[in-house]
Amino acid sequence: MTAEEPPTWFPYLVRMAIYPSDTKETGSSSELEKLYRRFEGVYSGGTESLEMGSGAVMSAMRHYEDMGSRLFLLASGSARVEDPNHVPEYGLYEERIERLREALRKEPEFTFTLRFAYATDEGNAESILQRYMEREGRHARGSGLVRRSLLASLRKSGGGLGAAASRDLIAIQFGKELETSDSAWALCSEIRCLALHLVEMSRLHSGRRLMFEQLDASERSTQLRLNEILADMRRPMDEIQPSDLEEILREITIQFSRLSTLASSMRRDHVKAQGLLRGVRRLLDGWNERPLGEGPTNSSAELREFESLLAPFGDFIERTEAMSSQLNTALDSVRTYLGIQQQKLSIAEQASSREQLVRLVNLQEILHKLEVLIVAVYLTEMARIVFETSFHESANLLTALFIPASLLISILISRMLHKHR
Amino acid sequence: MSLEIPGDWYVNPQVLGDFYREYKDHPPMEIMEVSYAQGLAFGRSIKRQLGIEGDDAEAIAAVLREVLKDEPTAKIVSVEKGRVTLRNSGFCPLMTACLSMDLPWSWLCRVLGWPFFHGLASAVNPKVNLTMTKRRERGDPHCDHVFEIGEGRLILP
Repeated sequence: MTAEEPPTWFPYLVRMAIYPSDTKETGSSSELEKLYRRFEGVYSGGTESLEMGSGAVMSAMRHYEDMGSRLFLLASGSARVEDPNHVPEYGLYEERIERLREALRKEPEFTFTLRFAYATDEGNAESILQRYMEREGRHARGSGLVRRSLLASLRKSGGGLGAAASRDLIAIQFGKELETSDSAWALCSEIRCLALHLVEMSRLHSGRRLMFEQLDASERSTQLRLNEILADMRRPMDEIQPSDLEEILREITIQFSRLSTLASSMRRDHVKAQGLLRGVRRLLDGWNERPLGEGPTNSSAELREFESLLAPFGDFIERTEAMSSQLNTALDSVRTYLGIQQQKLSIAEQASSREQLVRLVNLQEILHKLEVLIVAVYLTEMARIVFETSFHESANLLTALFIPASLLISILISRMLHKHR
Repeated sequence: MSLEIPGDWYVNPQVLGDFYREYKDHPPMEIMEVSYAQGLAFGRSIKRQLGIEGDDAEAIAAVLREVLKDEPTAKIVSVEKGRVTLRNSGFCPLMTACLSMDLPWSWLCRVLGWPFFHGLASAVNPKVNLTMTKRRERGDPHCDHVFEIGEGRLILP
């Protein structure tokens, strides 16, 4: 027997023990080897795929690695269908499965249990299901006809590790399905695929559970701070200092970038979860399950569960994006505020430089006048020296008369000089 | 194998991811000790830089304020005689890093975050206790870090 080939005997009890793929010491080849040696009877297969028979009871253990999980399929059954149309006694099979499970040293993260029963027709299959549920005091969370099997998923009887994703199912095969065990093993393989999808989804969800739970509180405190910031922004413009705006801008930028990171990271997980949902939908569509009575089918119950696990991802993205959008609005108003302040500053700067220019021009004019005066005094002084030498007696009168001329000459010189400049 | 915590773990999600992958199976107490020592060294350098004197609640608050000056989600909500309460709420940097790098939030807070803060305050007074009276990992709406003079313990009630 290889891992791909199904056993030829009829399964009665199948248990799937699921661990994360990086779990160490879940049961090594040597453990399986020990188990292989411990059992009496007929052995076949290797250590990764073990099959043994002791008396009428057959057992098998298979190891699969897929979708981030290590799955150990432990099965026990019989070479032929004994006593159809009766609820089987699972005690002996349970005992065999328990002995196989001892090889797995750790408690599994999730457990899927699939019980099989066999009936000659659909009516008897329904009767077996009713009797089994009455005997065990269980209720169906979903039931339906999958090909020629009546499949029911039972409500959990307790919590415990991985209870949310763990399942307890019963499949009652009827009609031609009693001739070979192929369809039972095919259903087993489909349930294994469903289990791996559900476990992966459950892990993804539980890894983010704390984030989902904290979203309300985080959103509330961020909203409060945002309201404070917006209230600050409503203060008169003169009361807000550029340093305050800088601080607000930094704070909003940090919050904005975090929310963007959170939304995009959650989107990554959401896409992954949607992929898992698509996988499960494909698998369940292939079942083409027909309802049994008025209750939900297994397919609709599983899809509803999947969708309920998927919904918080979408909600988280929407809410963080709404928050980001608010922060973006606040960011825009801070930017506008800063822009207005900068504009005001530049207008004030322009006014101040114009005033300085006027003052400078005035100063220059004063300087020109002073320049004219100095040159005129100098010319008058020079003329006085000349007049004292030539017209000693009337030098003072001539000097006084020369003053307007010297002023005129000085103005002319000044204009000539400034023209050249 | 000697344990090394990257100096910028609280601002760099990438190093947190590398750190988790390397040390996730390491005994938590050892990581906590190293994180405490890192906080202690950082706290001492801040104390020296700012010239913070004394060993009372005001001095502890001054060190924490300096470390958290650019962190909008952490706020010192009260400074009383011998007691400082630091509150962390909203979308904190560890929450963001954990989601973006797919890391366990509780593990990082326990082995890195809280011992680091305890170390920071211990730079001011080695007898300070850090009691996490409210923890978001337990479902509380925020984390309250209460620093009180005691026996120098990190208490997770």
